[in-house]
Amino acid sequence: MSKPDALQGSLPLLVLKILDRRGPLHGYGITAQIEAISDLLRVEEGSLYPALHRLEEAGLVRAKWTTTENKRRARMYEITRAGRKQLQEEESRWTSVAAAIGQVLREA
Amino acid sequence: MSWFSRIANALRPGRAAADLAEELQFHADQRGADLIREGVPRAEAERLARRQLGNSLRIRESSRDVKSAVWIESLLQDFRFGLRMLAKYRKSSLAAIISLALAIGACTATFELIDALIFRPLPVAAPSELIDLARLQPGFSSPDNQPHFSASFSYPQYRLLRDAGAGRAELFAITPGLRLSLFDDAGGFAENLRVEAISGEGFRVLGVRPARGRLIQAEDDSAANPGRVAVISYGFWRRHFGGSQAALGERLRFAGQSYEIVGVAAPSFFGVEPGYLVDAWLPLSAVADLRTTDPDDGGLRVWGRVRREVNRAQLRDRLAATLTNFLRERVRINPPRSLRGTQIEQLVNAPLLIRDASSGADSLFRIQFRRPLWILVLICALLLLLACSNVATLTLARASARDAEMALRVSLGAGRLRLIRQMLIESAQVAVAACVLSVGFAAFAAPAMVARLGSPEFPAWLDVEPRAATLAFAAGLSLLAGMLFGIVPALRASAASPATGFKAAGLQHSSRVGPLRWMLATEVGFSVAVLFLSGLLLISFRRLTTVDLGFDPGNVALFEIAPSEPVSPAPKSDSDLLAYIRALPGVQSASISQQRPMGGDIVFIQMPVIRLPGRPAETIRPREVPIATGFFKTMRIRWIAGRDFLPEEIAAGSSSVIVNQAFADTFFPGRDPIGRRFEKIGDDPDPIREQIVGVVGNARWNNLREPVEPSIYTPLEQIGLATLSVRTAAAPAPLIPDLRKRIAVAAPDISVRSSILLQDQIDSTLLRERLLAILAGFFSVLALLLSAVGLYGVINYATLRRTREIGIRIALGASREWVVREILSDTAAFVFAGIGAGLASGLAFGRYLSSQLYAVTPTDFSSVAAPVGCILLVALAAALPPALRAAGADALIALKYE
Repeated sequence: MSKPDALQGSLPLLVLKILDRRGPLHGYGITAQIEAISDLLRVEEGSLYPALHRLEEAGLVRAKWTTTENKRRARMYEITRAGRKQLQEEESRWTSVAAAIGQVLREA
Repeated sequence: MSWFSRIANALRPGRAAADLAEELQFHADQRGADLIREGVPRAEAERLARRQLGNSLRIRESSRDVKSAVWIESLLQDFRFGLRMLAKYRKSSLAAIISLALAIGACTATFELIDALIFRPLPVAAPSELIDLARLQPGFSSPDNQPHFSASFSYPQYRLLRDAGAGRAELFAITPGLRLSLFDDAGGFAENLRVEAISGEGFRVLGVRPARGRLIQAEDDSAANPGRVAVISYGFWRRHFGGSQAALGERLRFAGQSYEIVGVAAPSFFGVEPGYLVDAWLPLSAVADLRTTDPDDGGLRVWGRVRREVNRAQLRDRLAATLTNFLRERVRINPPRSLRGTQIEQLVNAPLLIRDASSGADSLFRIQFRRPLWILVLICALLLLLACSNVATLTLARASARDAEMALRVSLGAGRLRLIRQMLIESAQVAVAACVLSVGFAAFAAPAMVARLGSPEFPAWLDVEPRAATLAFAAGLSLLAGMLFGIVPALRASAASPATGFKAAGLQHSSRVGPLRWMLATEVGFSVAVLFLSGLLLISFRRLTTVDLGFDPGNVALFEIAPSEPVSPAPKSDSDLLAYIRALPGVQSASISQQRPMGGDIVFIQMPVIRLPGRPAETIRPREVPIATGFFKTMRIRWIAGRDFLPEEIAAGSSSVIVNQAFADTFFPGRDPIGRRFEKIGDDPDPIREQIVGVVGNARWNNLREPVEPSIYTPLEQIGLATLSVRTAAAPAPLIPDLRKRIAVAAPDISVRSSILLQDQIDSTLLRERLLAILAGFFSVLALLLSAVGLYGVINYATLRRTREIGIRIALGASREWVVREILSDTAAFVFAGIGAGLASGLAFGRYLSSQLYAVTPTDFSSVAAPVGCILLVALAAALPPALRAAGADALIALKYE
């Protein structure tokens, strides 16, 4: 399957949005959520974890080890206040860029 | 994630990796479980899950970059590796660390001394506002033809200046350090103290705080009602009173007067002359000798505090005008005899200077040791460069031996930067170890050097406790050194290519030893420069100590004597005292002179103007030394003609004089001087007519350096402060306590202030030279050792590299002599290049030393031959063992060597 290039850059945005809407999730949960919403988007795990760790490093999400119902240790990610702020900015930028591109595509 | 956790992850990389692995495993398991739920067979599901996760190694790497400060991790690896390397090459690492530590330590100790003596601000409030006043002195110039400034003002001058500056500057007066004799409760002489008299406002203006009690105040310094109070220094308080509170209220007894101790100055305040520790301060008005109101006779230093916003040029003009008006009036009333018309005008109009006094006064001590200390800095710096190049050479040789290692690492993908960093870290480890050692060495060496700066009579005092500046200096120097000796081997190592390293060393072209040889030449160069400069100082010291004194210093003891009480008239010099001492068992002869023989720079010697019959006043002024009978016999100064003073001539202060050979040669060349007359124009208004009754050989008087000057010996009538010299049959040292007791009994009106052997007195004029010579000797040995180690290391290594080649040559019939000659000449070219460079720089620096040298110049044969000879011997000693070993090698073994 061909992977839209834009996803590379927008993966952090998607992760933040999912975490904002669905509350704390582990890495696999994030993948599953994105894939459940969109049939088109597939998340490469190879990109997801470095992206998550980069978000964590930037203080946009925080992570802690929790125990799942079937007694396994899982790392849960949760959006931070800074992450929400970042999400708003990224989201509005994305919308305006998307709108602008849409306009060009329509009117060119 | 915080920096802290990144560093923590770097320090324990295993933990972070395990976390990540667990997280990924969880992901794969969840994915697998979902797939199974969707109906995919278990084995297939697990395979898919794992594949989907992708290359877990790649995730780990790229995730680890984020989670851990990778560079710290690899830095730690390099650090551990560096330590392993140091341990592996234990001997050469230790040699490198110790040699660097000695060089850095020597630099640091010298820095501490220079800082304490010259640069460090006085420990008072806002030292940058402190100033002192000085005037150009017409008709005088210092030995190097610089204009001479006098910082000496009379009491009336000080009062005028203070009032003129009021509102703009707060001025106060302080005397230079005076040597006063402290008496014990019984009235006996206890010890000599260094005392300064200070005007009432002095301490307040300086901003010194008391440690106990109070300091001298304005009320203490009133001419009408002088306060008999004293403030002692913290050092004196500890030494003399054991730091006891009871010291306050005690009395200090000086000749004729006692002073109540009212306070102790702050511990850091040593006075205003770096180099000396003042023992006590007295109010200016309370010291009898200084209450002089002679408007023309100075002796006071005028200091002050000028706020930053005050215009100093305006202040100077105002003070200068005040002083000029005063002097114009004075020269009208009391024309100075020693100056002529234009010189008087120059004196009146001499420019006044407001000098920055933030780092204290230019003490005699500072003047004497400024140049020697900078010379030490120069030699230390060269020594440090030598140590650096030595370490660089050894590291380079070692690095060449590590070519294979470097090549292996390059071919395994290590970046050049990583290799450079690896080598620099190894250098840094050596530098850090050297830094730590050097601080310890300096902490021991600096006080030892201070102790050598002073004599028992004038002990030096400098605060050289290690402080932040010292540590920073040592650390900075170590860093610099580390970069200096680390950079060449680092670049060399990074140039390694995978191909060369795996070839056997013996097959390599010998040009790879090239940079090593140039390093060697550099090292020899620095070594020769150090040896050359040190050699100059050593030769100079040797010549000074073997100079012809003109007298015999053996078995002579000197006693400084003075009237017990200020009496008038002073005791006669030819009293019964001399006769009594001459009659004591073991005493051969005794005499008294006004000045102390070999008194050094501190002894004041009169130089009167003389006038021969029918001629104008001579420009050459002879030195005048007043003496009692028997002086030439006691000192064993050679008799040339005429006779000694008669006792009655001494008693009457007759007009007979004895002159030295230089006087006779200068003023009566080719004529018999006995019986000739001349006029002496001294302090008295009227010239004194003198007649020569004897001629003696030339003798050095103040110090060993001075040229032989025309001198006249005149009768010493009375004893003010004088020196009793006693020649004994055997070594005089054991007799001194007994002699002191006997003098006290025989002449109760005279007290002995101090005693010293004449030989020790001579030595005390050589403090600078001795210190420089000791250190120069130490530096020379160090330089020779370092170059020996470096030369041996490099030649040995170069020879090992040629083992195979030499083996072939021997197999083809080369003689053993040829091998030895080949290796020696191979080395010689670089050694000679180094010697040339070293001599060139040594000669360039040599001029800077010239003021400290005696009877030797940088271009003398011996100055050049000594260092070159030494270094050649060392080079030969270092090159011979490897050469002989190579020559003795069995051709077959040599060929199989690889």
